[in-house]
Amino acid sequence: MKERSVNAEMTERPWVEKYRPRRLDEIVNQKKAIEQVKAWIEDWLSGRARRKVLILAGPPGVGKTTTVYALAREYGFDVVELNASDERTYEKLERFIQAAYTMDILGKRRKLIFLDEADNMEPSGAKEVAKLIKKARNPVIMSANHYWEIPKELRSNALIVQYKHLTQRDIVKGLSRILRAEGLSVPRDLLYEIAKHASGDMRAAINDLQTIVTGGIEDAADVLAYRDVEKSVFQALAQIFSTDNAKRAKFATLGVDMMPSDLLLWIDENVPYSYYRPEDIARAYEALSRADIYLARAQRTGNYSLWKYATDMMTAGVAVAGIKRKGFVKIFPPQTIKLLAQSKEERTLRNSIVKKIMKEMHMAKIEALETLHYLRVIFENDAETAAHITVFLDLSEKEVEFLAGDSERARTIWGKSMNVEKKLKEAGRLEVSVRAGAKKAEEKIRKEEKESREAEEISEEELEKAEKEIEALEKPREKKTEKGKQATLFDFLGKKK
Amino acid sequence: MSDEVHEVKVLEKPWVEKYRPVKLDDIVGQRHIVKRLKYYAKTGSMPHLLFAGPAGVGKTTSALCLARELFGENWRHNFLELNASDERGIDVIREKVKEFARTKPVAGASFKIIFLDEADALTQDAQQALRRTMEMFSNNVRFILSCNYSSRIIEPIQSRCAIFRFRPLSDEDIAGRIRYIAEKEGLELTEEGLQALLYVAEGDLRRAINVLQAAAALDRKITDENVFLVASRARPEDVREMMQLALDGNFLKAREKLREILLKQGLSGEDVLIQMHKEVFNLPIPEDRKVALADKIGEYNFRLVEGANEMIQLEALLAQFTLMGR
Repeated sequence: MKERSVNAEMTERPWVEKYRPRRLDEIVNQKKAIEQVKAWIEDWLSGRARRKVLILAGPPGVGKTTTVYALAREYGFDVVELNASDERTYEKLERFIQAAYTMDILGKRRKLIFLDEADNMEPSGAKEVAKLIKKARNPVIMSANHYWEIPKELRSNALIVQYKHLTQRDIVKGLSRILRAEGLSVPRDLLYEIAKHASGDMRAAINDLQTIVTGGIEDAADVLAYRDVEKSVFQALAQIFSTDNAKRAKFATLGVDMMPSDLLLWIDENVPYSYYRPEDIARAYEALSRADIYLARAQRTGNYSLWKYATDMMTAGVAVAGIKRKGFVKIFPPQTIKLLAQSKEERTLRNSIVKKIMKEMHMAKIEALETLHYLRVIFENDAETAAHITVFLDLSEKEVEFLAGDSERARTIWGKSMNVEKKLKEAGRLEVSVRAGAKKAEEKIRKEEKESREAEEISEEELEKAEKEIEALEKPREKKTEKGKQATLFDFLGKKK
Repeated sequence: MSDEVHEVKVLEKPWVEKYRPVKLDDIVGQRHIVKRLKYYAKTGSMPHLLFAGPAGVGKTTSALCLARELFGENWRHNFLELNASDERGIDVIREKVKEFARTKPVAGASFKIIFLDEADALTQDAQQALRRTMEMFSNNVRFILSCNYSSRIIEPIQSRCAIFRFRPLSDEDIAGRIRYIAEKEGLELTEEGLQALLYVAEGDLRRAINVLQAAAALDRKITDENVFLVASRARPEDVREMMQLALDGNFLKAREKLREILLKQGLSGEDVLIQMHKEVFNLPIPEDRKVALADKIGEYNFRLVEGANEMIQLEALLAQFTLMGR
């Protein structure tokens, strides 16, 4: 497998951070919202504030968080950012409100409290938090995709500012700005392609742009053509690997048009790139292991309602497994499918040799696999013996090459094996060769067999009747679920073709 | 022994075949078993048989010899060899059995023999189906089931079979056979070479002969050095390396290795687990860790059987190795 320079790519500063607008007027196409926000903070500063709490509502990636930080910079606040889904929000909030108060007295910079993902707050905790906010002497901003999902207690006395979806043109404008700054150029069509898929989400578009540029701009079109299909899975995974929020991770894959078994492979591929501490990797894989078991149960029982638990495990279970690598989340497609295609020929050769060993040398598969290694030593070192074994196992030229590991040596062995075969034929003519003799005997027996078949053949109906009788006798004692041979990885991956 | 005499000059078979005994009396070790099998050969009748025991101790050879002595020179026509792990599912096996059983035994025999290797690779349900098949054709077919552990064969099948437990071969048994072959082949067998062979064979005569032939391909003088060199080629080095990488905290590299083993080398998940379990006690780690890891391997073996994608389960197991390696 090709080595990936994971670290270099992973630690490159994410463009979404690097190029986050620092001033309010740099935020793309949200003029009306920005004006409302400015009016709100100015009211607050002048002490005329009627509303202490501001809610920024709108789809992801349109500038809500950016607004908060640019606002703080322009009006001289420090931001205290809290995630509403964090269990300890209340504790933290309490501490910060205290601190904010003291610092204010000491003439330090004022604090602005920013409650991210407020629509994810548990209603049970909302009441307490609302009380705290009432006490606070700081401006409080919350963000949410849908303001109506914020618990009532929190939004009851708030000013709601709605952010709008960005257009494709807005997104291309944003991307172009970054490209200029990076001194890069990308075909304009490509920018529009990216914008199209981003569906109004600037952050997603910038991440996509960075992925494409990092992957080598020369084959960007290919990448995009691929992403055209896989688009949503990239976005979904980027979300899973950047959130600690179980619910958010769970819903990340909602719109992804993919079988859970394939999704599992995608998530599997990316776990060790995102997590780096052994305990976190182990936890993430524990979740994947559970997911796989649910998938198998669903398949075995035909009860596909079990899929949802598999999805829970592979999304939310992985998202909460531990500390993720910071920075730009680059998502890799699963290597296993590619690997299977690459190694197909080798695997086919190996399997056919193993089959021949099993048959001619009366072995179980695992024994034949072991024997294959010994044969390799012989084929690499002793062409004479190898030639005899070639004839004995009836190997093909390609199979000889596989065992010899060298095409020139393989040719030598193959040549010698022709000789052996020739001599074997001659011997068959001169002496009473066992093979020839056996052949004669075989013919005789074939004849005999044919006769016996005609005379004694057990009819198909008879067989079936017997089978049914026995089955009828045993039915009551047996389980109904017919469990087949365990599926191997190949069956699993093979299905998609 | 007519096979040997005629073909030796023209076609040199692999030694495990060339020196495979053709008479029950030539079978190494297993006295108690040979005695009973000879009785079947003499009386011309036998029940279904279950051969249980480790690899390379004579299970297949015994079945082949028994068939020869029962059926004479046309034994092949009354003998069908199947492999449970090879045939795609129990249905394929049933079809082949059906096809084979529908004709009368030749050369005056009263039954045919079906030798089913790796019978313990069949699931419980598949074994139930096998039992029905055995019953259906019991008038003209005898089964010889071969497995590593008889306990993995369902009770109803066990109760219908005469069970033969093959013992691991002693060093003397193996040494005797190796000396015989070395002499026949004109090899110079050093004492160190022989001891090395016994060491790597672990009671498996097939392995001993295989390693002997591969070492002879390097040099007619069989030295311990060459024996170990050959044996290391077939050792689960990759599996060992994979475990070591995981223990060293290099999960990504370990995962890459695993995928190579599964996808390129074509080992099944179960094969990998078997090798991991074998190697775990040779790892340079504290003793209690070995036990803890063996427990983990067991747990994931269970999950692998339960689950759908063996790669996911094995990767999860490697993550446990990484965790414990710290």
